[in-house]
Amino acid sequence: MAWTTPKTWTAEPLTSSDLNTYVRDNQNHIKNRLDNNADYIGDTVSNYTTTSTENVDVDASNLSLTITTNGGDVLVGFVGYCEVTGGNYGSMDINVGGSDYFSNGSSGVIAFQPTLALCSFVVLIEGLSVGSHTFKLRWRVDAGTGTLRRIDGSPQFWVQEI
Amino acid sequence: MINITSEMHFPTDLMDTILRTAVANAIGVSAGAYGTILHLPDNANTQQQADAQAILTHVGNLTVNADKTAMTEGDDDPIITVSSSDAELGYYVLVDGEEYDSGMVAVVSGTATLNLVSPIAGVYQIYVYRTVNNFSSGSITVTVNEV
Repeated sequence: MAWTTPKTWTAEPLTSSDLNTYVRDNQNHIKNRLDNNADYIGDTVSNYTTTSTENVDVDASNLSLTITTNGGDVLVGFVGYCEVTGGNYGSMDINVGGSDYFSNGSSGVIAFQPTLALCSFVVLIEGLSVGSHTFKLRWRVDAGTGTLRRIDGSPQFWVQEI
Repeated sequence: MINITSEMHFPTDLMDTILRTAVANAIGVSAGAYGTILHLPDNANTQQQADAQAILTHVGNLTVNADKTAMTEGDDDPIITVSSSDAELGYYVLVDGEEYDSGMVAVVSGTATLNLVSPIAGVYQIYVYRTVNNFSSGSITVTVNEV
């Protein structure tokens, strides 16, 4: 249901048609956006690990969320326990429609560090077109092995239309 | 990026070590509930892709022996042996899941021999792998108990 720019009322009759368009439909549009979200909470099966020095999917099946939006902006969030061996660092990114949104070839959204720590972010993906969009969590390390724990901590990855 | 995949689960560090031996410019290895993925650059040639696939295909095909698989601290050191016609083999040792040691061991008269020197209590997973041909690998576990 599309958004209609609210009317500036003057001294005209209040009609059901206008009420439906400017009140009912616009409220439904807002509610649809607020209800439009998806998330994945990792179960305690096994940790994710990578030694990849280029961005790769953390989990192409589970850490990949698809929503159909009304066009506009989406919030994407993540929280989990991460670490990298050997004193190295790693970074994460969000792949939107096949492109890594933040990476400039070396860094991504956030760096995770050698010491096991909470890795958390919320980012704004702006100006998406109307339709289906897939958001995938991606990561890489400078060297060593990066770990996203699931055995002793449940990561959450989520998307929310705003 | 070219991905060589397996639904099996293998230690990431071990697979990364073997992969970079087989394909020098490999990007890395990823693992999760989905299994294991070996990442190669887009320009990896047919042989490199085949070598990467061989690593996954031949896990467990190299026989690793130990004169004991359970012991107590202070007992004689366990001796790990692998029969091979290669000049040398690679090894990778985990203790309680953490990297302990890795490197190369020479094959002498058809046998590669590794000694776990004065191991302390823990579960030792010893992996041995070929660095040529089919890159086959094998493993054995030695449990060292406290006194």
